[in-house]
Amino acid sequence: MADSNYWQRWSQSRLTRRRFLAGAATLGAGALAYTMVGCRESRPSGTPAAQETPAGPTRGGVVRAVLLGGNVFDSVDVHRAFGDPTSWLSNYVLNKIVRYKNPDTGEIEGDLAERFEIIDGANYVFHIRRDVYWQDTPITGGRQLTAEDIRWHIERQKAGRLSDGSQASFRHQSFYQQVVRVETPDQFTVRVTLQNPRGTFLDRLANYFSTVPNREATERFEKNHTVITEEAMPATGAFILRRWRSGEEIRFERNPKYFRQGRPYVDGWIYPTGLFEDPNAWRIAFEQKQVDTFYSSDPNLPKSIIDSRPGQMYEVLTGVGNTVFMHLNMNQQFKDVRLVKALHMAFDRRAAIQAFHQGLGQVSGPVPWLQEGFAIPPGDLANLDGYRTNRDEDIRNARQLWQAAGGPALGEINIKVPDTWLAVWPDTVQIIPNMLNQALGVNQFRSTRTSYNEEIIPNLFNGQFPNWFGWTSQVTGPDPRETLFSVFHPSGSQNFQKVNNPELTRLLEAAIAETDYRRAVDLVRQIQRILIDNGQYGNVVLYNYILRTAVWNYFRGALKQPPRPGEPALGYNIFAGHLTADEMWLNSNDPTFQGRANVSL
Amino acid sequence: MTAYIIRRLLMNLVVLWVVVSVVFVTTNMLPGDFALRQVATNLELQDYSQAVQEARRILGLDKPLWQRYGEFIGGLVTLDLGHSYETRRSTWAELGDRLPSTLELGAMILFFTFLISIPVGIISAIRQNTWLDFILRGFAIFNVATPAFVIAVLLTLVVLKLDLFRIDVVGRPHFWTDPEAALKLYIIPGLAGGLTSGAGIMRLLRSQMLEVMRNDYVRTAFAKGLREGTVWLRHALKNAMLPVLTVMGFSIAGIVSGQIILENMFNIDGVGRFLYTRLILRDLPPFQGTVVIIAFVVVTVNLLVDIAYAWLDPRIRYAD
Repeated sequence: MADSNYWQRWSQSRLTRRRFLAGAATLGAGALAYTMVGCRESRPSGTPAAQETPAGPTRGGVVRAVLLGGNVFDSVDVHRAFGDPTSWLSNYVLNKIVRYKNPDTGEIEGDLAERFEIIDGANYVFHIRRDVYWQDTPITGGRQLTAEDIRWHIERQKAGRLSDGSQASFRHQSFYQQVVRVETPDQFTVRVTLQNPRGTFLDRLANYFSTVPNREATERFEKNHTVITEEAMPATGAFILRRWRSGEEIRFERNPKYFRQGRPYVDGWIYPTGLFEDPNAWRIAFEQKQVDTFYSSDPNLPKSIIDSRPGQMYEVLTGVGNTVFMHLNMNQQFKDVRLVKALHMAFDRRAAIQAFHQGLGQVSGPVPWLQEGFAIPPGDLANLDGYRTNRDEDIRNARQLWQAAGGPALGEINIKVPDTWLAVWPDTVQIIPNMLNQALGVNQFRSTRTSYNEEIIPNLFNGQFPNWFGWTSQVTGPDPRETLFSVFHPSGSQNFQKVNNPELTRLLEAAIAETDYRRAVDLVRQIQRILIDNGQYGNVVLYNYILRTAVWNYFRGALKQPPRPGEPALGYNIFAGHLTADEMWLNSNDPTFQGRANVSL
Repeated sequence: MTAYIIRRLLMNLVVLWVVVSVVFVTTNMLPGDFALRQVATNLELQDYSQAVQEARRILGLDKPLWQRYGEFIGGLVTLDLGHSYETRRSTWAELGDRLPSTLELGAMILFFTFLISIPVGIISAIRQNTWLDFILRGFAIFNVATPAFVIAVLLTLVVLKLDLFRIDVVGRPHFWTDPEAALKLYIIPGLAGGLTSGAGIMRLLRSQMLEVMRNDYVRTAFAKGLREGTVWLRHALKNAMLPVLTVMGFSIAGIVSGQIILENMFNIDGVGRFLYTRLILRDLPPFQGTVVIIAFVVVTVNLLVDIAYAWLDPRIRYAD
């Protein structure tokens, strides 16, 4: 009876294992043959040469690109999101009241406001466009955007309250608390009155985190704002969020009701998830035109890819917004300002750029060079303490200060390095102490690992933070005044070093109120000289490095300077998502477009 | 035999409980949590602590450890492996999405493991100390000594340089949706993983074959005038395969847990990559839940291998 069952017979068969071996051999031979022959794709032979792009941008195509800032979204509410990704994403979908025409210089133009008037430093009038409509969803009904939307946007953040009156955490509440009144004399005019003149008010409104969300959708999802869904962010901007889920790819689709005629050029964007966590996967995707751009923390890698395909790709150089700096605790170990001045001069910025970034970077004064308008010009900076190209004078002065201020008596000094930095440059724990020990002629410095989230940030406000070297907050806008005020004014929210210099305070107050650009720049440069004279008060700005991106010729983004023969293109250093959203296009006439992965939404 | 199996099953439950508890405690001792990741590194925050506290309250991370442990164990009893902090989906749903990719890659690795290790191991033993044996042993040692990801990088560079075929690392194809694209995606990590794991098995099989070949019954088989191939395959290989089976059993169990590095390198959304990203994000419920599943698979496969031993070798009998 048992023998009549096929599966029992099969299981008892002595041939089972041999059958398996024979089968494995056959399958293996087949698979290997397929690898050798079948996988080769029919491609046109020869490589197309790079050619000039046609006169104007063409429309169409879907871009697959890198997901900046990761994809861990903490909220759908742009007012309440504490992580950057939501703000970043909103720049493709929403608009701001005003925006940067050039994010590096800070030139501002209208966005939702078609024009604006600066009555004085404390009074502003915005004339809202009449052709802006919300994406047509069951929540918005596709209604027109009016001055009331702007009023709600400002007053909600100022009050820090939800629609039911309950208090909640709003990331930029302190900024909006300077607003005394928001009036809407008619449906398309907004008048804003501030407590005091604030020369940086428009700059903050133009920043990437100042997008204006839809009131009805925001309030609908107020209670569940941490559940990520595209319904919560109806668009006014270039793209509609077609798909937005945590941990999954993000899809944008062209907004047919976008008020800027002819924009955007591309039909949509896809941000695949995970691809960029491993350089191998990203490299494969880029070289095979599944994505259009590639960069790496090792600048040699994109360079080698560009060089391996002459005439098919170009190089884009972009300053990295996360300034590299050294934070020395003046509340504890470095109470004498001469000590931090000594370290400010002992640190060899150019050597660090060479060691960590193969020379792709530029030294930064207290205002990073990315903020072109306000930074001290490189030629002038090179004559100041700590920035001289000839290091002898800096080292000599640093040693004198160190000795005079009793530096050797401090004993062992640990300059900690955050783990996120060490993951990319693990030898930093040797390089930094060696550099400082050699420059000062001592053997006091060492470096160990730390963490932003566990040791640095939680201890900033209580003054117990360690001395550390790494990235500081990202440069988010072209105007440094708010940051300088916040870090060095006695009432500043980030004055962790408890700086109180009357002359500096006076200049900071004058600068923050100044609405005239030239005078503001002049004041900021005076402030920087005081900071350099005082070793930057322990906030030792070092440099900003440069990211090298490899880009296929057919991909045309918003560039400050397009590629020229023998010269790389220059990208904008400061993030302005609206420029990418509006200006990016794909040149399907370029020979390199051939073979690009066909992507549809 | 039945009593033995029951005893092993009970012991497996204890092992699982220990694994689960150790994983729960150690992962909760790791510095940082998901709330810190969410609130992110932003020195501009004025109310950082408040934001972190609020995030912890929403996620339930403000509860004491013992309470969370109790909830976790209680969940396991009802087969609830928890929900992802990031996506809010259940661990089962997340795993269900990833398991197919892991099995596809695992099948590919197993395929190459068997394809390479068994024939090479047999030939190397039969042709002991010949030039062919030296070459095959050199090949095996190279693959044992070279990590799979290095082999994968080398193979990838060859494919890119020669423009052989498109590796669809963005589209994440499956064999049932686009077999050709899936084969092109999985073949390099499959071959790299297969070479590495197959090399060890090849060396083990070779040594087992050499040992078996010296036994009397093999000499007797030859003396009877049996054909060489028959002796190797029917008499020698069967007995040489017993220890190899154990190693293969663990290889299969390892496949379920995913190939963390290979999956990352080729953006394969499998269990290994899932584990890695959950740990980096401190998204602990799905991490812990997945470890429970892997532990279950490993102890179960271990039991099955032991049972298979008895089936394959009549000399082995487990005491009741």
